[in-house]
Amino acid sequence: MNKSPNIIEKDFNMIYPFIVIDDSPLDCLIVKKIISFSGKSSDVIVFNDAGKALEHIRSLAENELPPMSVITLDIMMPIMDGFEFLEQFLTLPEEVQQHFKIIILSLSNHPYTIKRLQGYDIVGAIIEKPITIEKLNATLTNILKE
Amino acid sequence: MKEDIKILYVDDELNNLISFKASLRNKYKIFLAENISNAYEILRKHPDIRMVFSDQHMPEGTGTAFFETLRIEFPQAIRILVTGYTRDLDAVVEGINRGNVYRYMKKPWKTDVLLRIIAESNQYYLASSLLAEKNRELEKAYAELDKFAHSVSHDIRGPLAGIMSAAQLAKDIDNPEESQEILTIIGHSAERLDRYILNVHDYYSVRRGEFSISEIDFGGLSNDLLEMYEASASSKEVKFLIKLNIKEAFRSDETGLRLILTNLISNAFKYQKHRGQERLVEVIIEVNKGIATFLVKDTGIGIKEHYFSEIFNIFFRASLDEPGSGLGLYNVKSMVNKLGGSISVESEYSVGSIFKVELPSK
Repeated sequence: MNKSPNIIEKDFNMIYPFIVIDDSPLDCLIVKKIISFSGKSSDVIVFNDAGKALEHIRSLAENELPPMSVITLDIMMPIMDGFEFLEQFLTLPEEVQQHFKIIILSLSNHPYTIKRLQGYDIVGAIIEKPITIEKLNATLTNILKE
Repeated sequence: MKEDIKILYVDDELNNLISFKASLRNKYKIFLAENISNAYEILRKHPDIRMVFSDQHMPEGTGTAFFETLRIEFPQAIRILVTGYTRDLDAVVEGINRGNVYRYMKKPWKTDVLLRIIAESNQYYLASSLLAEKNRELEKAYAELDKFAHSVSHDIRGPLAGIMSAAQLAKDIDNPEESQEILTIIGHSAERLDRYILNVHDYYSVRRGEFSISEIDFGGLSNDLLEMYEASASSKEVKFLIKLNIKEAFRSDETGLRLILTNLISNAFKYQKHRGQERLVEVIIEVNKGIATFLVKDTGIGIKEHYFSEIFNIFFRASLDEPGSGLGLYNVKSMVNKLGGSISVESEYSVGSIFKVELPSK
């Protein structure tokens, strides 16, 4: 069946569950608000600890995975940082990984960090904080259109 | 004085060694070696030897050749060549020019000349070791600065980014309840930034370390603390107690003491367990036999044992449950060290922690 413009329109308006990973509870609250206001989320789950987020993803994989979910990931976090999370995420079965899009949400615009992040194919986009609704919407449109 | 300055003399003539030691042993700690390999053995056992005197003519080789290799293994030791032959002058000049010989002493020597050479050499030793010490301090300061620059993006830009996002969000919101929530976020972000800046301020005042020592009024201090934490105690439903047992006068720097106590007490309030259980912060201050002991106990989340050695490190954070700069305990430990005291921690995970600080009266 050919994709009609109608169906693309429908895809674009789809809503997704979000997972927010950030060590700062305040930042989580802000990201959560912005995501809710973007109108693209069905629900938002927040984790201050990247390890707990991984546990959650593993338990989702055992039960029922959503068709597509978006993860926003901070980089500079104590205990488990963003890079360690990405490494751990890569050990999940590929069919699990495919159900997630990862957006990096970080304060760091250091060229070294950016370059290191570009080495990960699973990273869909990088947004530098402060996050705004426009930045988030533009990024989501970009990475979810395929 | 005697144990402070260690001097080694190397000579194959026993008589010279004996007279060297005889004229100096009351003032300095003298080591004698009859040959070069013996000299190295002594130096390896006592690497803090400040000066090495060596004869120029020894069966194993010349003194200048010995100094050339000595300089590599023990660069800090001041090298003084001893010789009775004027024909050695060329070798001496060569040695001095190559930086291997600091002074030359003629044999036989007069005691006053010997003492003057030792005094000058010691001064030179102190100046160069002071320089080395300053260099190490500078390297440490640079490493800290590096960490600081790194943390700036996280701890200063973080709250600012929060404020910026929230302000932008507020523009799009009509619902008054939602705007209240956004304003609260902005307020909290600003508080976080302010706390961080206060910590940085403490960090620099600890480093500058200008103290004013006076007798501490523990009664007044504990009243101030009770007043300061009254609001935290009632809003967080935590019981706050201070017990004093002051047997004698105690002198210290009051500002430093307050920095130590407020950081420890704030942590004790911050890292409490969840509501519904008995929650307590207790401070016990004792002064006895010239030592003040401060115990800060809490019924908090506790610290895992493998973090004990790390919690005093700069920018280290063991918990994610509460915001922190990673500077508080580092500042506490630096201040305790500057006041000549010690700090230790006992903690059981999810039961509570006890920080113990001991300070000598000044």
